[in-house]
Amino acid sequence: MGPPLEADRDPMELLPLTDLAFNILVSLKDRHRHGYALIKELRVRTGRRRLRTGTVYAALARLEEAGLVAEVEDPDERDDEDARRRYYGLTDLGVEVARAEARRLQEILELARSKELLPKTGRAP
Amino acid sequence: MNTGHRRRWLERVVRLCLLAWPRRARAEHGRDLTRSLLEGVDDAGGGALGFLGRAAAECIALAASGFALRLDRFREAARMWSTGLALDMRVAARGLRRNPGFSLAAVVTLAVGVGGTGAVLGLVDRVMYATPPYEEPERLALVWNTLGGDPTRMRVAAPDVAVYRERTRELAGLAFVSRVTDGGIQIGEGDAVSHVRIAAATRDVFGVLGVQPVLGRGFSEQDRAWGPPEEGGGGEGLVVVVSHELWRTELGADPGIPGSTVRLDGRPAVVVGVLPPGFRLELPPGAGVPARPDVWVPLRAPLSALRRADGRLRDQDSDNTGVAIARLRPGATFESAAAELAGVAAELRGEIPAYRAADLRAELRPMLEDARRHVEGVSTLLAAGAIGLLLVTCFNIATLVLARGARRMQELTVRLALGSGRWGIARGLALENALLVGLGAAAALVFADVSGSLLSAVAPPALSQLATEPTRTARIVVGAALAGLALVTGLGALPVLRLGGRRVHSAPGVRGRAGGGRVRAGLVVAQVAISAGLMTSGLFLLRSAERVRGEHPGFEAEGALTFSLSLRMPDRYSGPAERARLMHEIGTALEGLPGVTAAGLVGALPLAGDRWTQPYGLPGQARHEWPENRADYRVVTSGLFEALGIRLLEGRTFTTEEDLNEDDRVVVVDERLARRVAGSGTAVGRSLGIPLDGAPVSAQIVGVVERVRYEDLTAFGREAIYVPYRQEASRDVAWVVRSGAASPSELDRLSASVRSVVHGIDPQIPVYDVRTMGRYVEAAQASVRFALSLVGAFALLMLLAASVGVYGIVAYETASRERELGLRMAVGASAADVRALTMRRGLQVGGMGAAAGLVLSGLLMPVLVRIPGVTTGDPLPWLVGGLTALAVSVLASVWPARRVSRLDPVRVLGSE
Repeated sequence: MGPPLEADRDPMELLPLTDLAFNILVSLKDRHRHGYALIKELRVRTGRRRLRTGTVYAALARLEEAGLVAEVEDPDERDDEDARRRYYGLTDLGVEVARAEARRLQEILELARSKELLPKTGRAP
Repeated sequence: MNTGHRRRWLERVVRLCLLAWPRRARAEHGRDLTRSLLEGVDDAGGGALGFLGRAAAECIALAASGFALRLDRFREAARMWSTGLALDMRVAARGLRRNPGFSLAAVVTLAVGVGGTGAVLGLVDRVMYATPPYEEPERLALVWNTLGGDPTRMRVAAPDVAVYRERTRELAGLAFVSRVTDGGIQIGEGDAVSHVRIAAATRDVFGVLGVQPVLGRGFSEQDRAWGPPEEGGGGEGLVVVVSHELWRTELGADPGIPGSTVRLDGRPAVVVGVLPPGFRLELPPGAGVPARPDVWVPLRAPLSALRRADGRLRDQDSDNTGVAIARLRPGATFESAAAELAGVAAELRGEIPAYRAADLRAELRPMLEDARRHVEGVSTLLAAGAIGLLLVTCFNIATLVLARGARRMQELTVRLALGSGRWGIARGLALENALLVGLGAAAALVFADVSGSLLSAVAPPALSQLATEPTRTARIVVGAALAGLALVTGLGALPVLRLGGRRVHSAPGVRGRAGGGRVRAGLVVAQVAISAGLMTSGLFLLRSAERVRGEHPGFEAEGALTFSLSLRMPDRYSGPAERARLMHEIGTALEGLPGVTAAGLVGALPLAGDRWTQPYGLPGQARHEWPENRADYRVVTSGLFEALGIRLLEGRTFTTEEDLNEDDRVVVVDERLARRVAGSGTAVGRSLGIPLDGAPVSAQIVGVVERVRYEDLTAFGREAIYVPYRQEASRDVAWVVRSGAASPSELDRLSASVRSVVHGIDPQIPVYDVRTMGRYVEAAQASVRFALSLVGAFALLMLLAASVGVYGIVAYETASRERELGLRMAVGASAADVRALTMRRGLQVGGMGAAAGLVLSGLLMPVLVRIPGVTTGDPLPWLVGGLTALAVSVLASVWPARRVSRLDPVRVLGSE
């Protein structure tokens, strides 16, 4: 389970997210990560090899302040060396917002497909 | 440098960069971030150069993202703050709505008080301090002559100007504008002739003033001189510069006008330039040179050639006198220039015996100061009135706000006890007051704008003609007043902070007198004082206006229609006999008009601002003794006395024969001159020495008439000598036609008739300034009347405000003493006793205010006496002003006194 419930805020109020913020939320969806691991994953997944540490942490600070991301105590893999690291995970609001943003992007993609900007590939049933 | 070393250095730099981050984010993420950053740089591997590049990029990004976070926080804080302020504003607006009477009173007071002040100060500012469109106007001066001890300023003579120009070092330039003459301008062949005022000036006039024509050029040294044909002026190649107004109205606003030819008094002249719009000469009234000539021509030159061979004083009074405009040399002062000029005048006295005999002196005065001196008294009084109104308004609002704050102490104390923050309450109160002042300011701006344009529209010409351009001083004053008010009302919230730890039931306003009572009483006394002071000043004005209206000016304005005409055509009326015959013909035709009982001409009308002063000789006086006596000469025809309604006291007026016959050397004098000639005996039959056409002749006095106020309704000028027109047949004259016509339509018909009479005799003669004599009288009274009505309105408004103030303080103090008064009544005081106690307070405040007000108007007296007709020895204004202020104060305390006398002692004491 994720961290405790955030207050009942409307996820739509926080949209649209920045590209980086959305990517962070997506990365944290399936597992909690510490900052450096997150940066490494984002660099690989987005292809932005020059993504800077300060930029990612500033984004994390904003997401944490907005209540989408929270520090978590119990990381999946823990050893002594990592004991002093901060691990981050999505809050329930964070999940809601990520979902809403994904839907928003999907609608845009569908619009792009209907205008033949993208090939009409088969959609999942 | 090994790896460990590098890491330590980088760690320090990262810590430094982290300072850009907001404190909280730094505390939360700083350590973790540093570690991730160092690891990232390490993991990338590579040589020292690669490390350095990556470290630098990371550090820059780190600092930049820190600043971005800070900016986020700042934006958020601003948003929160503005939301909070909006909330507070809504609360404040609700507070004002809850008390609509108070709010409306305050806003209206502010609108009228501050807005009215702004409008009047704006006008005064434009009149007194507007800068004319000259270059460095503060370095311009006017030069005048005076005659031994007589302060009356005289125009300077052209040849003397030539001497001043030659012998002074402190002046960078000295231009001369000769007396303006009237003339006719004809644009095209066969077009109608329009009347224009022509100023002849030295060619450097625009240079000295520092004015650039908007089209074409000014005069150049090559331009031919202008002059009457009989004096050898004129000829081909004449040039003129025209005013912007003439260019617009008569010349069709044609931008290609420079170079085209018009006919001026029948002679062809090339228009070379057009002056800027609104250009005017800044001159005092009576300068004999109108402020806005339509046409400028180069003066015939050289100036020194205009001196008469014998250097007689006659030069002082002839047509070649005018206004000399000086520009100070850089570094020169008015004092140094005046001293130098006085020295040159002394030299002239040494050289010319007539000047020595007359003790002719030269004076130099700053141009702007000189030109505005005559409106200084009225303007200062208006400004004082406006500032008085502003002060009363401010005091009034301050009293209102203070009293209201005191009344709300109980509510505030309760709120405090319920846990509201003191600062929060104070901020709310201050905001409420600020909102009030803001609303008042908006209303004041609208009021100032509307009343400002209204004022300019109704202001008399003496003021409005000077008002050239809007300036900002008035707005600054009013802005400062509003800022001050905002501050005062903001301070009105301060008492809340003093509430501090007091317990609810001991808070002021619940029982006993509230603190700040003395301040409020002081403010009310000041209000009463200012209104009493202004009212006294207003009453002085009223008395002067009454006096002016009550006194006979020496002529009958009612039923007299006047018009002017000028004979400046080169080919006609060149001799005095010819002109006299023409005037006789016009006079006969005018008298033949239906309803007309008399018609006569005069060289210059009363109150029209022109005079012709010359010496005269008493019986037995030698010619060299003459200059001691100076009189206003008026050339007239026989019908003038009856037409203007000047009463004959002794002897007879002129005959038709004397209108036409040059050999009849006769004069009519006024009673003052008659007394000088004959003492208590009769002057009729005695002879008088007068200079006619420059030569002294002896003329017989045939009649004595009453004195006429020619210059000003408030005072008689010099003694007057009336000379038959035939003797000194000037080219510019005014006609007076007496008839029974009174209604506007009758006057219109008569105006049309007189025009057609003149044009029936000669269509080329320009007829202008057709107006009733009453218009001149009105214009002469206009400044005082305008000031009177404004000051009167101010005084009334202030009195109203002051009475509200007195009412407020008495009512408030009575309310807070209810318990004491109730107790008094319970132990036997009658209702009348309590009423007297209350009224005494009103009397006390009013008495102090009235006394202070009289002192205040005493301070205003030096300004007041500058207004014509105001005399200091008049006790009535003091008495009425002081008593009215006192009476209003007492009246204002009647209502609270009545209320208190109906108190029920049982209820009052029971409610405790």
